[in-house]
Amino acid sequence: MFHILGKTNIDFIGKRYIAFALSGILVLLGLVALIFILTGQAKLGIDFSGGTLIDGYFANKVEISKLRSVMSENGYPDAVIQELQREIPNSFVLRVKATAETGSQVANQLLSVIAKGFPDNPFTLDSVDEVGPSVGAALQSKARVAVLISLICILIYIWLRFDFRSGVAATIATFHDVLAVLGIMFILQREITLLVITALLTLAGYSLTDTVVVFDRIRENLKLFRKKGDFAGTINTSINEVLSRTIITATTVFLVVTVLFFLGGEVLRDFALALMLGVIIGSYSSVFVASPLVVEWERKSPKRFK
Amino acid sequence: MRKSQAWLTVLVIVLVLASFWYLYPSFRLWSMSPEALQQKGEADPAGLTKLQKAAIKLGLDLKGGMYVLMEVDKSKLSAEEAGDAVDRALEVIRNRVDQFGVTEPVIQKAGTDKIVVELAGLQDVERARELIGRTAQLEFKLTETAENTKNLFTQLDQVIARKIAGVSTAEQEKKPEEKKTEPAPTEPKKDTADVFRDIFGGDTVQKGSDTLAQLEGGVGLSTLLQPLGEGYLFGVEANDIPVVKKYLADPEIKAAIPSDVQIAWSTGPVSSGGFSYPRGIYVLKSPVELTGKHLTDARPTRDNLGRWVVNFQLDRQGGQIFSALTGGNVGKPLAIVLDDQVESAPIIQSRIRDRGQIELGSVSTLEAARDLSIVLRAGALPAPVKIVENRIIGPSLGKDSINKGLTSALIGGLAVILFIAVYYRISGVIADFAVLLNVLFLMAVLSAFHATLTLPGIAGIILTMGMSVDSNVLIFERIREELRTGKTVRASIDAGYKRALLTIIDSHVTTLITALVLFLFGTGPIKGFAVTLSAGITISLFTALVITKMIFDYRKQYTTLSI
Repeated sequence: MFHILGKTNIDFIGKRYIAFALSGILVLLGLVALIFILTGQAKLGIDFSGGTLIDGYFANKVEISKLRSVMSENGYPDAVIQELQREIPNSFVLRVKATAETGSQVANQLLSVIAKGFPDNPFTLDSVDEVGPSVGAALQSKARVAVLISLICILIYIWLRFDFRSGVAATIATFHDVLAVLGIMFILQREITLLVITALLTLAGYSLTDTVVVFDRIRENLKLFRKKGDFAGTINTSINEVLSRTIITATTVFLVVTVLFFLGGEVLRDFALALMLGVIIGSYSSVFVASPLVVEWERKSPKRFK
Repeated sequence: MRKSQAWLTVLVIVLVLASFWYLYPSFRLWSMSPEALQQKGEADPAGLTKLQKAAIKLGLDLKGGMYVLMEVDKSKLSAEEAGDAVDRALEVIRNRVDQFGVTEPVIQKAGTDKIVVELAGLQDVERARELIGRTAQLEFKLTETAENTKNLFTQLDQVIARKIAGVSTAEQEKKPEEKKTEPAPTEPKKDTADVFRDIFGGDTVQKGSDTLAQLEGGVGLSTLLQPLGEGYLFGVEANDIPVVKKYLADPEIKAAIPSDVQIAWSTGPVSSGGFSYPRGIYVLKSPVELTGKHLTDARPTRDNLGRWVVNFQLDRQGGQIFSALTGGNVGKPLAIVLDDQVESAPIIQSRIRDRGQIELGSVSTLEAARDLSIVLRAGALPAPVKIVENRIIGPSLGKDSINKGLTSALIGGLAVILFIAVYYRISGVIADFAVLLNVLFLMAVLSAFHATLTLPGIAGIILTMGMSVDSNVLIFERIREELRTGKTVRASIDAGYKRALLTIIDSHVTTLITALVLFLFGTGPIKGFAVTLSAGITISLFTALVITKMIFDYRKQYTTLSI
């Protein structure tokens, strides 16, 4: 047998206070990000904020400052311009805020401004996204409902399958993961797009799976060792027993999302990044957050697992 | 081999064969070069359509194209008309798109008042957008007499002059008070220019102050209009167009125009007697003499000067109205008004019965003539539509996405397969076999259910490859544990499967819940992700619990297990 880890006996539970401190910071970060998002101050993707985005490349070299001045001289001082690093040189993304006109004319106006500003340097269009303000707002509320409903569904399932305390602990761990990834994405100044929200929901499912695997083992072992009486020890043993599974599965998922991050292209990059973070944090939380929470609760008010 | 095992083997072989059968059309279509595709399209169009129908559909983000979400503006309709306005609009747009000739267009109602149109592989998106978004309300109207026109503009000029003067004096009366707080003297001329901006919005052209000077001299709108021909048509210089537009949009000026008169822009340049202007203003009599409802056909053709025009044919009732109209107005112009803009206003030469010709006011190209014919044939939209969301994906970007998706899938899959094979040896190879079957079955399911593959969908497939190993990992780890306690291979395999089962089901349910919610709430591409992820996860349950188990059942007779 080939092992990354042999039979381990790491004292995860003993390190819970360090983990709680770290998790506290991550969750706080996530809450700050959430407040910024809900009050509309975070960088939201065009799907949510509305606006016009055009993406394309020039035939010859263009200085970004020149492009900026051309846009601001022609009535778009607020245009956000970004040069893209990709195989095709001189690729740019231009973005302007939503107006009442968004949805029919703005992209054309931007293109004609570019054509006028760079008459000898044709601009080839790769994609256009025009999202009217009402559409963006509708999608925002849709995303909120989706996040809420999936969390409620997960809660119901967990509470049906496990006892009350494990249910609460698993839920906290899942929220912890989603908030932590959201917070890190926020710190990294990534745009919160529809795909990032999708990644967050996917990682909620993934991290819960991780927690469920650990809890299944804990439940099984508690039945076996009930008479021996060392609650924290039993939980620690359970974590150690499923540790190699946690690591192998995390590795395979991490492998594929890392490949997506590097090779999947611009569109999937933030999605892959959120999942990469999610795999790491999801595995961490099932070991260092969910189970220690149960131990801590048991210590404060003993009530044996059934 | 036991009987049940034999049956399972047959089942798996049948499933694999069925998968290949479902995937064969996709494989054939995608392996064709663009030239071969074109050849096939010319030689056997029906066969190609059949092949395209049977193959996995690619989303707009992969094949390039245009997505438009339109809102039907029901504000001006009566309650009765508003009831089925969206359905009628949908029908009209479908007719137009069908005649435009795009393969597999998607035209659907979204919510209560929106319409989604998806057109794949378009070359000229601008044209398509114009074609589907245009109201296309065709009306025939008579022009106003020279005398009435002259009176109208005199009246409007007075309104404008009064308005400017009134606001100016009000402003001047206010001024002394302001001066107390702000002593800096201001030039009166600049003040009036500011007023002008206040009335007509911020972005007036530079010529604004000149125009204002003319206004102060007692002239107004009429000085900006250059008379052409018979007194009902005026040319407007390019610089003056925004000013005239703002005049005409002003509520007080609008109120001053009698209800039986309509001022309408031309669609394109107007000229007369050697003078040419980029746009023109027509003064028309409001009553609609005839509408496009009576049109039975419209075709592009060339007139005797070689320009592209549209010939139309009227129905019986329309022919009677048209005949009376033209017969009674010989020698007078008849304005052909499309969406409140005048396409052209030819002079009626003689009585016309049920056929006519529309000169294109804008650009006289075959495309313009053909597009106008299409919208006229398909009929007018019951209400104007507003485009609220528009996405265009260039074909090269789509191809780029496919290549990146395929590369990621290949390398990601290979990485997982190598890792598992190295870690679990022969058992790992069995798990890898399951991963490959997963992908095969997943693609076949997508094909069988005519699902649309999007870029996030490909990401879902790649993620499935990473996640679906989990079931086997859970089982293998369990078997290893059992072996470590000194159990026999047979007992370890039995215990491993039995004990891991509950956990595997738990872990699948949690992933499926989120995928399902994503499917219910997600839009296009996200739905694609939800579909591939949930299908992939479900299939992996089958491959782990049935297919790899089948192989492990066979391995129970071994004394040692490579795991």
